[in-house]
Amino acid sequence: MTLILPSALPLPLLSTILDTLFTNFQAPTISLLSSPALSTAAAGLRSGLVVDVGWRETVVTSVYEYREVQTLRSTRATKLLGEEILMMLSRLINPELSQMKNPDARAAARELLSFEECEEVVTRMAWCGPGQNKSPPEEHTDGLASVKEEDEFRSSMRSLKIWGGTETEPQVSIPLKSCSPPRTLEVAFSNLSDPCEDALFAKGVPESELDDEEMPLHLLIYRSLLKLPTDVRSICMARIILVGGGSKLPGLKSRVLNELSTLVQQRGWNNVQGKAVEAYRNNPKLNKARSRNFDDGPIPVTAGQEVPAYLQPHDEDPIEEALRRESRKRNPPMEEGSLRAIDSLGAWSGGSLLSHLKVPAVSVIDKDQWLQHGSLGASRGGEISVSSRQSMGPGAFKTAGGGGDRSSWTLGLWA
Amino acid sequence: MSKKPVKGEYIETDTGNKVSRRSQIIGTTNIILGGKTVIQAEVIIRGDLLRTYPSSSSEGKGNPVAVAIGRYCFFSRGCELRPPGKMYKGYLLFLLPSSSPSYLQHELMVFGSTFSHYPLKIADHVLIGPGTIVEAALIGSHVSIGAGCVIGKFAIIKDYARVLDGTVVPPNMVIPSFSVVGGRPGRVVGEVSEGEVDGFDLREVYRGVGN
Amino acid sequence: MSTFTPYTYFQCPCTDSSPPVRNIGSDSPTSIHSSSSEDEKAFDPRAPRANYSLYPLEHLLYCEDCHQIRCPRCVLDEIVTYYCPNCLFEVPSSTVKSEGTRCTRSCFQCPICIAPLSVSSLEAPPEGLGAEHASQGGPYVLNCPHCSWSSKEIGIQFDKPNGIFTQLSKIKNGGDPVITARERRKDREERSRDSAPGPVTDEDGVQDETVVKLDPNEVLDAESQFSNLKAFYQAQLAEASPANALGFSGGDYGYGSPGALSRIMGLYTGGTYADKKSKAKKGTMREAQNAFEGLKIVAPNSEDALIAKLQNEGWDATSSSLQRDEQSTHTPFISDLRPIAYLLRTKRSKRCKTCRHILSKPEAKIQTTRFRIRLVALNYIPSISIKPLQPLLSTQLQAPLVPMKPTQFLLTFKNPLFESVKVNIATPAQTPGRFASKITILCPQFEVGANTDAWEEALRDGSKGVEREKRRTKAEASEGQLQAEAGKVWERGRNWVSVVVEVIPASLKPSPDFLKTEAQRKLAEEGGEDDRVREDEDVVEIPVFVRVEWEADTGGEDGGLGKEKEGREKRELAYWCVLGVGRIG
Repeated sequence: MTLILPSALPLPLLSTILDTLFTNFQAPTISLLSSPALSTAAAGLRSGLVVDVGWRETVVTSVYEYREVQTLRSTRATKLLGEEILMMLSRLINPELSQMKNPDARAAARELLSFEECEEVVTRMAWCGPGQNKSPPEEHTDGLASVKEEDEFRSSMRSLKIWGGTETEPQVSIPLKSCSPPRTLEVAFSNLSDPCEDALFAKGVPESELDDEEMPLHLLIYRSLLKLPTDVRSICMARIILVGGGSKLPGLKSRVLNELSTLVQQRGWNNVQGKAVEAYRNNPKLNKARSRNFDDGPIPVTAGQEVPAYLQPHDEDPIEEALRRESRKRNPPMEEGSLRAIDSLGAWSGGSLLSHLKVPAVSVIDKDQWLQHGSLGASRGGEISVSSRQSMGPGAFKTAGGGGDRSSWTLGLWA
Repeated sequence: MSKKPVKGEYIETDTGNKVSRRSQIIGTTNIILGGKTVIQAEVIIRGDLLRTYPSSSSEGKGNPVAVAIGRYCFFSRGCELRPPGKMYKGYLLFLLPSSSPSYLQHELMVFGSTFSHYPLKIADHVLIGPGTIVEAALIGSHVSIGAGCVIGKFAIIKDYARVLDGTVVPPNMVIPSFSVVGGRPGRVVGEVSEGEVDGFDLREVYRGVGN
Repeated sequence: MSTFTPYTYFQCPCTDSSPPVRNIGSDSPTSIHSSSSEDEKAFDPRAPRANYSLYPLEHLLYCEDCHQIRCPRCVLDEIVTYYCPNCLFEVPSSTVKSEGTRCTRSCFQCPICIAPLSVSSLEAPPEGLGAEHASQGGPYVLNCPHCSWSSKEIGIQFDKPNGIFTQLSKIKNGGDPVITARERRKDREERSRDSAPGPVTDEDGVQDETVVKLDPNEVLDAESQFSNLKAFYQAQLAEASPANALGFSGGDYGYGSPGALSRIMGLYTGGTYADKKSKAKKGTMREAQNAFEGLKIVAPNSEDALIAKLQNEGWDATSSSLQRDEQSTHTPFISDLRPIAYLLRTKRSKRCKTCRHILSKPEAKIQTTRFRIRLVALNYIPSISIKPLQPLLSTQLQAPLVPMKPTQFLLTFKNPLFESVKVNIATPAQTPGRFASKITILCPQFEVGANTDAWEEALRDGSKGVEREKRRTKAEASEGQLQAEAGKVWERGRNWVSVVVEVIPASLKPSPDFLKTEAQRKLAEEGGEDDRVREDEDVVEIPVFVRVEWEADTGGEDGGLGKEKEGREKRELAYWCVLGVGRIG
């Protein structure tokens, strides 16, 4: 039996799950796998930025060589989207609601429509616009921020053709049964994308007012990428994997890419932003006589790598070059440096894929051992204790490889 | 047992069937009752809907059977049993019963099809709730069908199945043994557990019915 | 007001360890008997967890070795047979493993309404003489007799009327053929042969004029992406596996052999930078490069068409979430839905989780409904039925209970055992919950006679009616001034006993403060005191603790009739029940 778990699952919960599975389902062994790593595997990749748009939260996990490097979370996910849709619908049913205060209006809206019906509208009719902020194409720089400019341009042109005209707003009728009396709402089609703007992209709210845990999707992804070391970032940004129920929202993927590329164009990969930075960057004098000091500011931890690549002189590193040549001999070059979204089959398909291939997981838990020792019996193997973030470490080799060495096992990531 | 006085609600037959005087049983010669079956008031059994499509077997010797019912069945008030029927495509036209109305004959000429009923078979210990319409092809033993159901044409309900009140069983549906079926259209919503099996016995119910 | 049928639920003792339920029976039943704190720890049928341990008696099994009730939660299910619920064909478990858990014949459900689909011919039947039984020509479609959906609506037709599953798996919605996994494999082989001499980096597309033309940028559906990915990983593993070089082609051996394992783990670990370098020499597994290998790049405009369709066709073209749930892939529109192959069903046997003895085992054959083993609780513990003592007229049947007016109910205990049993019943003085009704059992201790053989019962067919008659007259005679006597059994039959329980239903208005119990006061203080009656709070549910004692043969099976009574053993069983007697009006 294989269990696919989010990487942040607390140990008591995991213990309960394992207890239940072992006692009620009599599984002889249970393998634990982490869902972001599997999402990556199910996309045919080894690294990637897994954006899981779930119900309560959106989790952005960067995976490098099947290891989870870091995780960021935001509450902007489908639940919020559902609430926004509910508000939109109930305002259409009862216009008085828009005059009410927010908490009151929400409570009133809940009385008006059933949750199921609202969810139905979310899954059936909600969509995501391509985004309005088409920034004028900045000067194209040949650093990490290179974006497929034409694509974006084409998409914006296309979208203009489809719903650019304001002459006749197309209407969609939505039959509602749970309100009394049942009625059919006529909604402008464009209205159905508004909740998504508010819920997932925090339209109209300045970034400074947002809390860390309510970052809109594009910012969340951007921040996540920003925190990564440059080489990991360049690989991850070309492998953005949107999974989860929310990712099925029509238009969401291209929207995220659009927003992201705009952000990257505007800001580059610089952690510090604001007017001063703008001014600093646009100062032609400074640009010309750029000094190393620019980078030595109080930028945390990864300071050395945070230099925007396009600002750096391109040093020829003989060793690097040799390495690159060597790897090129073997494998086709890795796609990196451009923004790209990849479709994944999702974590469960990934798990199924790996089981088909009979690839053992790091932590394979034996029933008898679990029932005897519980979670205390797990050994924290050398590699794993060094970095608990490691999803599938070499420890697995020991556990799964030897025929006899079943005595030590690990909970891996979840220990 | 001797016949009860005329006033009684039920007529009891030699084989112990208790048939309400207020039931409508049409085409009695084509109906077989296995015995000890209760037919309540306002029940309609359509024995007249006979098979017109000759079967390959030599069934036609005796009386043709439209509805066959086993022992200890219970048909509640207002339910209706009718043999299912359908169009048989590509059949010979001259086999049409001469009694069929002319407009029908005309239609059949055009489509080259015949309409025929099929016998409805009901096994033992079958309970059918009030107001239910049954057009099944086969109902197995120990089946309980709730009130206000519609059992679609040619449905097959196997032994120990239970159909909840108000279910619409779609035509051609097969309900396996030990299923609990509900909804519109009906779907299997649960299983009959081991302990419930005994509860399907209708002997007690039969005894409870009297005048 | 909805009608209310009195019910009895039994609590399975397997949930003992859960907090709101006291420990019963499992360790030392005798100690419970003597414990005086019965009331304090009384089972609360309204506790959130109570729902999970209460079952109607019919759903419970009984383990003869543990002498304990077993509920669906404390038995283990084992699959005996898989079968299709539509065509009732048995599916061997090996097929289930390879083909999945759906019927692979022609059994399909309507994607719109889940009714069974039937195959019918599109063509007008052949006419004229001699055309009878002439095989009707295709094309065939799947039709729903319930909602009139037809597979023509999604552009799917079949050449043959049978083997629909295989035919369907080759057609996409709209009628285009699906590129099967096999064709893909062929294509892959073809390509790898072509590209073998050249460097791997050589982009595909050049060798595209192979068997099937595949586009490296093809938009893959989930299934082909899966099969492509699988093939890709397999190829990578095989490449990395030294076993392959020795001639073991593929198969489990190749992957499982210790030598290959380190390479396989490369898939996972990748290793650190240094590691990577060293591994690169051996050829690390690489990532998928194109659609052949299962990579699916999101085109920036890929979803525009989707949105346009959503806009143009609106609500009615989209599939409901119920319909989507039945599908294996994401199907936003009705035109994406596919007929649903029937999910297989199983026959299962049940084992006691503690002692592993089989409690229920059906015959393996699908058509038979017999059981080889069937140990149901119904045959071991007395059933309890409830009815009002006051004979009700049919019009006022299930009349609501009147608050504060004492109402008497008859509890009938029927003994299924072939030994007479002693029954003790106990209830708390008040029902738990916000609205405490008062309960009094007039006769908490009694003996129920032994059950007799089924044959005997059959022989006594006639006398049964008389018995019933007697009971009725008794009830009628004392109508009006029914007075149940405390400590005495109300009525007694061969293997059943009726006792009276008196309920004083609580008023649904919140009781004045001085009447409130400690618990209620606490509840009120904790806030959330709202006077509205919550769902089903107006139902009077009485927790009853039942203790049954009887003497049984040792060794031999319980209730083995006609056996010599050597070595009698005292048995006892104790459990909680919940009696739902009625709604407070």
